[in-house]
Amino acid sequence: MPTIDVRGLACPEPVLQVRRILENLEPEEVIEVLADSGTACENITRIAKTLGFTTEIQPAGEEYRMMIKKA
Amino acid sequence: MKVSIAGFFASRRGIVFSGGIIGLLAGILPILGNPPNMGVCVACFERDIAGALGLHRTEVVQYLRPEIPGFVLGAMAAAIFFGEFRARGGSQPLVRFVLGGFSMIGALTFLGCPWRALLRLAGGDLNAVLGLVGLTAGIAAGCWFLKRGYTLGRSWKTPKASGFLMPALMLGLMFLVFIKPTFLFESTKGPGAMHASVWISSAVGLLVGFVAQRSRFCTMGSIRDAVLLKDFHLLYGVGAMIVATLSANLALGRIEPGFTLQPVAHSNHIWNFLGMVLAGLAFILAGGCPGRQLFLSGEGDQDAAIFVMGMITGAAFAHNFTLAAVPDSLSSGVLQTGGPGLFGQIGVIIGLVFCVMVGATMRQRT
Repeated sequence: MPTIDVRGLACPEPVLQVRRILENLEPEEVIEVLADSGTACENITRIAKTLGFTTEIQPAGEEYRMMIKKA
Repeated sequence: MKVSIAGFFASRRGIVFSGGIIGLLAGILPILGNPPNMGVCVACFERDIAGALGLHRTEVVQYLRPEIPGFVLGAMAAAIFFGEFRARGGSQPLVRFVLGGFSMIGALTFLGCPWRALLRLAGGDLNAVLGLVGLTAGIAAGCWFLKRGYTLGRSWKTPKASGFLMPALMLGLMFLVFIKPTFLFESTKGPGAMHASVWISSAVGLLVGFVAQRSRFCTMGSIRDAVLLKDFHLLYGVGAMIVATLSANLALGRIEPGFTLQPVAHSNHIWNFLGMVLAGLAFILAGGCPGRQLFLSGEGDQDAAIFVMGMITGAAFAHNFTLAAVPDSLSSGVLQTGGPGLFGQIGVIIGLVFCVMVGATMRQRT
């Protein structure tokens, strides 16, 4: 499972990185995204939904672990 | 309850609500004393604060605007309440400082930040169209750099106390607002002498800071996301802001369409455009409009705080070195078209060269 670490990156870099991966993702693949801001989580969730993916967010202390897969 | 509030602000209704609130308050503040078409202007207000602290001596723009510390403290309150306060920093601070300085020089060439461009448009100032086109051009250029791997790199966790430094400084400014020590400079005429009561300005600042932190309201981001990601979420908020201000202005009869002699504005089209190209490019390279930088600094983001310091310093330079544009005026009944002088024009060009160099050299190949 590929992991994308967008912690510490400013907008819109987290979304750009995740979108690049999602556009080439195989239907059965799941990706893990590590983020550390609510803004990045919301933006990634929105772009994932637009591209037809579902997102599950698990808070981990001050950070977030996001699992994204095809809807 | 926290979850449902957070969900609301993350939704389209939430961003529209935020933009509407900001636009409405910005439309009403001039009635309560703020300058026309300047209910809220981050660049102008930071410039006024620089003047109040004596960092520049342009007598007509010196006033310690409570809205700015209000933004930071309101955002801090929201970030703490919703568990989003994160002390962080260390992502190219010097580059961000200089970007902040040049963004202010660009904004003071146009005479306003993106927020004020929208407010000016909603007040009938058609020069704002040139400014917004310039802003979009600057942001589009920044998108081009982003697509090619532009980045200032990661920020890193810092001790929690350092995240509170910017809010503490702003709390200090707020304290000065209310005790009014004699060492502060305060305009007796011009835009700096026009202001709502400190209580109202402080309350508006705190409210806007709280709401905007939750909704991630960002004028520059709205255009960037539309151009780069075809994501129009933030643009709904900006649209709501214009509609709200326009409605307030219509209700209050404060719309006077035209180019010349608009309040605190000039009709030099080329420099209205180029000033905002510079501002837009600097904002996108730094990751947010001047309002967003204030809200981020309230969340503990010291990189954003450095950008704000750069803007305040840029305002001091702009007025000390006569870089800032002058508004249109009438002299013996003859229109004197304002705009930047030679030094201001050179400042904008140097700023553009700097931003292009930053965009081209700060890259990470993927």
